[in-house]
Amino acid sequence: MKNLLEKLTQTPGVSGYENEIREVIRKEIEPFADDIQIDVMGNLIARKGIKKSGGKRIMISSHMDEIGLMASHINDKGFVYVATIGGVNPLTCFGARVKFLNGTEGVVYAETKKMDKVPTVDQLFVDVGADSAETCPVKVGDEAVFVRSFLDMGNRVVSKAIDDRIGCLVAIETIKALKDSPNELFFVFSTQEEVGLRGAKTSAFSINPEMGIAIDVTIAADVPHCEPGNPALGKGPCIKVRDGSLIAHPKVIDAMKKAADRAGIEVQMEVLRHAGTDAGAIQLVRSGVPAGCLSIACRYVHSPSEMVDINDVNESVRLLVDLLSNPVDL
Amino acid sequence: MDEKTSLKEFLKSIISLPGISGYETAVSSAIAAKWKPLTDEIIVSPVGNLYGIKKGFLSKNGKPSKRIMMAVHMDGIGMVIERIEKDVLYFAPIGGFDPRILPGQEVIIHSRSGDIQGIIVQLAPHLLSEPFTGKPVPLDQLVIDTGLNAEELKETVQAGDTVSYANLPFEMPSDCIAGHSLDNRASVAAVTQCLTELQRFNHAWDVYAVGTTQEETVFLSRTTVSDVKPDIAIAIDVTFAKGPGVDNYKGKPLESGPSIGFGANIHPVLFNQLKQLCEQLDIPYTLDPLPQMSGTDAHPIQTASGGVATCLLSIPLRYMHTPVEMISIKDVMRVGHLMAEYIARLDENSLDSIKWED
Amino acid sequence: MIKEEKSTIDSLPVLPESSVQLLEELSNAVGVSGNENEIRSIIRREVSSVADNLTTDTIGNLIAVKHAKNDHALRVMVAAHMDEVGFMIVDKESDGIFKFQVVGGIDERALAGKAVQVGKKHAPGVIGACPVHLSTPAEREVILKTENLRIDTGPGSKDIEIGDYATFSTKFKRMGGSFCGKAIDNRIGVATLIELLKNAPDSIELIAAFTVQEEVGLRGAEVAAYNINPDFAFVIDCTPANDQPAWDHSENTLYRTKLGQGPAIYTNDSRTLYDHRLIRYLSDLGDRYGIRYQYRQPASGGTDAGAIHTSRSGIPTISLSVPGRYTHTAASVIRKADWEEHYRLMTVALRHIDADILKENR
Repeated sequence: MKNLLEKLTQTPGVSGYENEIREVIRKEIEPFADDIQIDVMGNLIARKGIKKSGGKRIMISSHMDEIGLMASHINDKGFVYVATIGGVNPLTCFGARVKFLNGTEGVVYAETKKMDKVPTVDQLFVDVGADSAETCPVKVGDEAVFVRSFLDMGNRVVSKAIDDRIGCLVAIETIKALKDSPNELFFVFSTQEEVGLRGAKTSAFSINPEMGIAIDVTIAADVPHCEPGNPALGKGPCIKVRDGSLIAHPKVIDAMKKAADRAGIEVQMEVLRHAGTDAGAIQLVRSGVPAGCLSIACRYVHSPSEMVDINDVNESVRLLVDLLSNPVDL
Repeated sequence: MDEKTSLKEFLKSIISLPGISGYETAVSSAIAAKWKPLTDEIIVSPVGNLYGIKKGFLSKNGKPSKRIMMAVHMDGIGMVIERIEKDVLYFAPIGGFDPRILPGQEVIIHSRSGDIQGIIVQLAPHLLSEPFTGKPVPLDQLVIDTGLNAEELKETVQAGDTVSYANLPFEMPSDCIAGHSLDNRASVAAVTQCLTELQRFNHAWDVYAVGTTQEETVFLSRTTVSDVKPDIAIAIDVTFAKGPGVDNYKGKPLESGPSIGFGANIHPVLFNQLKQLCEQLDIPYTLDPLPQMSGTDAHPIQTASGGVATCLLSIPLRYMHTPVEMISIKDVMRVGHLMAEYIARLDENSLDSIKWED
Repeated sequence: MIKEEKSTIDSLPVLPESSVQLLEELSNAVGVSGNENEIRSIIRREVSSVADNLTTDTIGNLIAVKHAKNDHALRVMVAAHMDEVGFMIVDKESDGIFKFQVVGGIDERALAGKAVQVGKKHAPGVIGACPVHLSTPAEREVILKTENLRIDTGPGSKDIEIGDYATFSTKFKRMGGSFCGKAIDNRIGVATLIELLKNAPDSIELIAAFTVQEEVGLRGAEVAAYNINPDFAFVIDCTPANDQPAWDHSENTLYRTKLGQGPAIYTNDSRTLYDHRLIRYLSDLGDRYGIRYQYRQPASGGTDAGAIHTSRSGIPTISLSVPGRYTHTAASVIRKADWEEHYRLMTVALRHIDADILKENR
């Protein structure tokens, strides 16, 4: 599983350009899905099973895209100025390495005389080793991902793009582990979550599910002097109560709690004051969809070194398999 | 009991029920019970929207029906427990709060072992991230004290439990009512008044009284359009009443009748029809210019699922989003009356007049 | 991808002189978000003889359809918003003096000292300011906020009501190779779309959506896209060009677009990551036909595409804009040459559009 996670996190898939990561996931799940579609927004939609008596059409969404940079200006000296894709914090950018989708690698730095202030996004540039605009292999609109290798610490794993390849991993392992279910399951590996839950919105419209579940990371509040909160690494999957985009449907929360009880899984209740997941978009389509979110506590979210506990991942798979194998009462 | 007294009692009963965004079931059930004898059918959608359907004579006679939707959000603002720290509780808001009104507020925590009383308090300066001397304590550093000790608390309360204001409604002179959640239960009462009056009319159009959910957060009202497919939608909500804190044009006096929305979210023909009807029926009214967007259900409904001709009626309300909101029941009844009279006048051809000018 | 043999720019239709007059009329007309009636009326006059179908929907979008010659043709939506930023009268203070609020996004610093027109009858008015003699230097350091400004329509002025819309009264001008006027954002798109409709290719069903309320949140486009549900959508608009030199001669890295560099293909804005298949489609066509184009820098802001591309199950959408300076102020400036190139690129884009573009996975 860690090998797969390494592959998932190391494959580039910045919002809007998810082709490569989509191919990796498609190959992984193809033998286990009944049907696979790719839609206009680039979402990968895998159906498993057919709705049987007592079952429901359920959409499970984990987003494939990751945050990154987009070239906004190439200056005379060949420096590439950038805009951010998704919530990139300029704090994490000094000295970071990036790779453009055409293969060009570069170093991010910022206009600064002394390195004593957080730069604005407008001050960020990438040095790709070019010395003029003409020789620069990057053009306006080209996208780049952060480069940071996968680190296996035993129980803990670290990489860029854990947000939300860890959700993709949970979905993939769930598809593989699922045997019999009364439910018709639509696993969506969604696009453009980091820029506004866009892929989930359109795929939910197509699927028209009776229930929606997002699988995503949440902010772990177990590091020194952080913003206080509940989720901690290694304490089990988090059942979301609310965030900035969603008040989870009480019956979806109940169903998740029941599944956890049945499978004997310790869970954490997550109340987040801000941010959002695909569930926020799913709930709003058509006649409305009862929605919830299974979160995995993650440290250093949106930095190039995001950390999760592998036990939380395993337990999330178990919870999801139980939840999806049984009838859900809404 | 006369109509006014009975409406007051109903309104007081529904603002005493929990119904924060996402958790509207308790209040929704009470509203459904009230609407049941006034409508032909009651439906609740999977995301909690409540539909009371009263058929008009067109569809009763097997003719193509037209539908008018009265959308009124049932939810109110509230809180949710974020985490437990020894014997105090930290909470997150659901909906928009001014944290300055919270210290000293009595609340109810809806826990798995029943309702628990609590009080919102501000801690001593040395316990905060900074002393906040001469400044309000921010919401994320206010806590709820329940009187329970750490162990008792751990056994009863869980992160994710919802929290409502505890204070009870009361009546004031000149038919005023004060309490929490009058935003937007006052409008629920207005729709109820409309349904009551409609019993006396043989109306042509199908009437959908719709209790919407999560207006204070994500506007699930947009999902009602897909269910109802209305030809006309009226959103009913509260607006700022003139009074302490609001002394400019943004406030409408209490007892000044419906405030009729006007702006980009509003179909101008519907606005004109409502205004003219007020004049014709001698119902006092005020104008509610909306230069940007309306913060009400009118906004999502107008563009949902292919769009609906939408208008907005508002009830003046003082001290919005505090636990001591205040309205006049006279305004509530006038809004209900106006809608009933408007609906009674709709006929087979009414939709032809709802056209944009060039 | 492009099936026609290479042709030259000479064979492409050129914007007729009449389109400049049309732009002038559209720029001078008043159509603040939520009250686009005057613009709708001009468009109806222009396109009623060429459109096969013309309707106004519940929110006020004017939808003009030109059918294809053959069945099963691609349904292509081209959207241009009709509305402009402006003001709404919200309170009467005294004889002829009104409080107002801004509709859409206008920098408050660009309000004082402007002439405006108010209401259906375009009553003349001004937004004045305290005489410089009576203000202190400290006061002049502070922004004149909308809530402290008034629209003055003169003592005894009549027929002005709360809820009336107002906008700047700048008149359209030709200045060298440029045009100057109010509301060029987005009457330039409206004028272009009218011409495209008049010269629509037979190969596609062209659905021209003249949308309302773009400036207050892409409201009209959301409704139009849902109802039309096209195979492709193009959005034509006016996009800011902040390409002037910086005051200290430091490098200008945030120009968004540059005047004189041709129409701007969008890559990324606040609401849309544009479909790279369509970005490539437009740039390939530009290269092939020798039509100048530029990429709009990824930055905040947005167009109707934001609402269109996530409608229903998703709609492949691209924005092509004419660069314009000083948009959302009393007077904006565009270059005629950019407009001509924009029209050419849109023309060939509609001619060649092909479902095969989507064969490549996004």
